[in-house]
Formats: sequence, structure tokens, C-alpha cells
Amino acid sequence: MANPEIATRPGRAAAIAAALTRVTRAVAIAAAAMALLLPLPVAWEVLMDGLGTPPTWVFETTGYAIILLAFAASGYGLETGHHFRVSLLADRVPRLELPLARLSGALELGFGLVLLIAGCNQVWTDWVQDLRSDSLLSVPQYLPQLAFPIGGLVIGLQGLAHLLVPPVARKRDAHRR
Amino acid sequence: MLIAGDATIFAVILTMFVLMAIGVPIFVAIGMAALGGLWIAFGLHQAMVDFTSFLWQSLNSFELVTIPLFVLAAMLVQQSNVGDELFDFAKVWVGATPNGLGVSVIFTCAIFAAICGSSPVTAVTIGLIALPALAREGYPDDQRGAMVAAGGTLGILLPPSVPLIIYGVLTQTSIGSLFMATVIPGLILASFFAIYVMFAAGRRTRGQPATWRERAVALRRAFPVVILPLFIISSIYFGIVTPTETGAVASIYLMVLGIVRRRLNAAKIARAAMMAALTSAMLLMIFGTGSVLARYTAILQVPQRLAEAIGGIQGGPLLVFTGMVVADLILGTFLESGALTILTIPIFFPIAMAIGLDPVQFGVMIAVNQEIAQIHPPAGLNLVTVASISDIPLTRMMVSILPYIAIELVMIYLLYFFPQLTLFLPGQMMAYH
Repeated sequence: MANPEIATRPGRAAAIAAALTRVTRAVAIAAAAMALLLPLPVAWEVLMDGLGTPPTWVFETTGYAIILLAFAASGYGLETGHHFRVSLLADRVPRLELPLARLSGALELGFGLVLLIAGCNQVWTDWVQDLRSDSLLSVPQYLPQLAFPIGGLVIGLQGLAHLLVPPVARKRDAHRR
Repeated sequence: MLIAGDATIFAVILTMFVLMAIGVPIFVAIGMAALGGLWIAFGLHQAMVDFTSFLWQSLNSFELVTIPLFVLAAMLVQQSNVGDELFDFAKVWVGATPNGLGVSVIFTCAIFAAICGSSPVTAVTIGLIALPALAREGYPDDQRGAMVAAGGTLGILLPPSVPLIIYGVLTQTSIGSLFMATVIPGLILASFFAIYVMFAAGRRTRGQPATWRERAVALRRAFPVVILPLFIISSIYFGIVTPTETGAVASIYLMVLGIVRRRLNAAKIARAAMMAALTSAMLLMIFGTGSVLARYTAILQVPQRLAEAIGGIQGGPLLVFTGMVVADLILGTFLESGALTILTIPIFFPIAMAIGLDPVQFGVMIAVNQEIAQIHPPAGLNLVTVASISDIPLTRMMVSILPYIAIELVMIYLLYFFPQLTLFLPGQMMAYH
């Protein structure tokens, strides 16, 4: 008879992984909204430029927006397979597929943590030194640089989800069912 | 020996490739390797400061806004199902040539590529429509798969090309000039593909010539989409808008067009936006981490030392250029084209300048080379993409794709020996301005 504790453990891990993925997806939805809105300020700039009064804020804010977009969508991108991977080794040696997927999850988690710590450090330094952009907007730099800790957090969370339940294991489960 | 004794750089590059080989996402592999290199060079604390600082400097660029804008345009085109209109348009206009349906596929790919700028998106969108049609006409599996895979690669070359945007930002080359420079080579390449399909590929069939009335109807249906590549090219040529602004205008135009023609609804727009965000994130993260690695190698003067060493090789510029082509092809077999650009350009660009190539000419040659990498057996991305959306096994296409690779190789050397093929239009554009 199967040990019930062992039997429930994978279920709990899957539930945690699913919850983590929901968080990264929610952040990615915010990034998608940003992607959808991005053409508007640039088109506004085209229009106003044509009228002889080009806005000063478009260059800077759209530049910040794409950095935030890139980091915010990166966590969920690991789940959807948008982040390109080379699968040659796993394809050639199928028994390595699961351990390699776990290792990849661990490294995603590690990279996320590094980005989170380094990003928080950067944001804190900017805050303390009151660093601002040398433009008319004079944007406090800690604000756009929040992209680093946000990105680190979502990449780390998705990495943890992959460490708990590698996508390969999920595929195998679905195949068995 | 060039970098003998510099075990650190070797270890960093090796670590990156090992991480990639075990299936770690490419941006994580590059980022980890770059961070490791900075750690060894400057200590952990400084490495973390430099890492975020370099990442910020590389990503904080208005030119990079072009990437999500054109990616959004590509996703909107895909969600709008305009591929079938373009395919009908192509069939009516060029379907009466020998192997007309195959030629129509190449023609459709060229128009679609000039709207979306992505090779796999072109292969998927056109492949889903064209592959069943080609099968019904009796084209062998290997030939129809190769046609779509090769036609899809035009997405890398014809403007708006995402790898060329990345190349432009990395090398400080005008993206507008790069886009202009691809027009003639892109059209020549599409013509070469079409001629091959007409006279050498597959079975010999010829469609019924369409009446002018049928042509007019097809043109009227496809006109709002067909006009877009002309708008993109002409607006940049005449300096009406910048490439970034073109991306914004194209996205809004496609969204309005899709809504007016009831091809887009809220769910499809949301899906396009999510796909655009995820795809852009992939490209920008690879760009960011790749730039950190490039900065690390620049600090250690690797590109300059490589350029100096290669400049001294006997055999001249052609041999050096061929070496870069071969290296790019090998790496391109398992790397995405954006990643390939970011990893190789910081090394190759100084070498190309040292052997006297023009930055614009070199960018276009690299784009053609990356087209080959997309269809290079055993695992070129477009071959994998076509296999995944059809019932054609990857192995069936490995031989039939070779003539297309040969055509692209000929194209690269044509561009090498005849720089005017790339430099004529940018020169005219500058003169006009």
C-alpha cells in the first residue's frame, strides 16, 4: 500500500508551483498591457512632431517601459517556453531529461535571486543618493530600476516552480493520464 | 597564441555553452557566465553592481523600443488571419507560372515577412495555410516543407528585421539604413527562391491564368495589408518617420484594420499583446545579458585582440570572412537568431571593420547568414517549426532544403563582391535627405 504522505507530497508541490506560476502570469499580464499601450505615446510623438511641438517625455518613458516590460514578462516566459533553450542533450539522452530540467529550475532560481539582490542594492543606492535622469523630466532613477527586483522576483519564483515540478514531469504526468 | 593563458575567458565562454547545452534558458546561461566572469575579475560585490549597471546601460535605449513595437505588429498580423488573403492574392497574381502554387508560397512569405519581421512567425502563419494547399496539389512532403521553411527565412532579411534592429543598436549603425539595405538583397533572394521553385523543385504544374477581374478582386481584398510593407519602406526612405515610429504606426494601423474588418476582438488583441510581451522579453533579456557579456569581454580587450590576430592571418579578407560565415552557421544551428546576433557581433564586428567591410553591408550579410542558420539541418528553427505544425518529419526536409541553403550562400558572396547591392539604397536615401 502506498504511503499517503509520499502520495500527497507531489500534489502539494504541484499546488505550490501552480500558485507561483499564477503570480508570474499576473505580472506578465501587466507587461502585456504595457506592450499594448506602447504604440500610443510613440504615435502621439509622431503627431505632435508633425505639428511642430514634439513632446519631451516620450523618448525617456518608453525606454523605461520596455525595460520594465522585459523583466516583468520574463518569469512567465520561462513557463510558456518563450525563453529559448537548447534541448539537444535532453533529446539525445532521455533519462537525463528530468534531472536537467530540475538543474535548470535551480539555476533560474539562482539567477532570479542574484537579480533580486543586485536590483534591490541598485534601487537602494539610487534612493539614498537621490539619483535622477539628466533630462527635463528628472526622473528619480530608483523608479524605473525597480524593474530589476521585480524581474528577479518573477524569474526566481518561476525557477522555484520549475524546481518543484519540472515542466518535463508535468508533460509525462499528462501523457500517462 | 592569441589568448593563451587567459583561462578565465575560456572558462566563462565554456560555462555559458555548457549551461546552454544542459537546457538552461539562453538569457540565464549568458547572464550567469557574465556574472561569473565579472566576479572573478572584480569580486562579488563589484560584479553585482557592474552587472545591473551594464544591464541598465544596454537596455536603456529608445532604438530598442522598435523591437516590442514590431513584435506586437507581427502578433496582430498573426491573430488577424491575414495570411489567407495574402495567399489568395499571390495565387491569383503569380499562380499561372510553372509550379505556380509553390511560387505563390514564396511570394506570400516575402510580403508577410515584410510586415512581421520574424522568420518563425512567417513560417507558422503561411505554413498553416500553404502546407495543406500544397499537399492537395500533390507536392511531395519534403518539397512543400522546405519551401515554407526557406520562404519563412525572408522574415530575417526584409524590413522590419528584428536581428537587424539588434545589430544596429549593438554597432551604432543606422537602423533605417540597414532596413533600406535589405530591400534589394531581399527581393533578389525571393526571386532566386521563386525561380528555383519554378524550374527545379517539386512537380511541374501550372495553374489557370486568372482574369483581370479576379486579380482586381484579390488586390482589393489584400490591399490594406499589402500596402503596409510599402509604407514601412517608403516612410523610412523619405525620412517621414523613424523605424521606431513606423513600428508604432504599423501596430495601431493593424489593430484598427483588424477591428474594422472584424478579424480582431478583445480576446485576440489580448493574446497578441501577451505574445508580444513574452517574445519581446525573450529578445530584450538576451540582448541585455549578452551586452553584459560583451562589456566583460571588451574590458579584457578580447574583440580587439581577436581582430588584430585575425587581421594577420595569411589568405586575406575573403578567408577571414568565410571563417566568420562558417562560425556563424555552426552557432546558428542551435541558437535563436537574436541570441546569435548578440553573441557574435561584438566579436565579429571589429574583425569585419578590420578587413574593410562596410557596417551596413556586413549587417545584411550577417542577416542572410542567419537565414541559413534558421534552415540548417539538423535543427534549424524554421525546419523544426514547419515539422511541428505539419505531419512532415524533420528528417524528410534535410535534403530538399539544401538547394535553398546553396542559394543563400551564393547570395552572401554576391553581397561580399558587390557591395552596391546593399549600399545603393541607403546612399540614395542619404542623398535625398
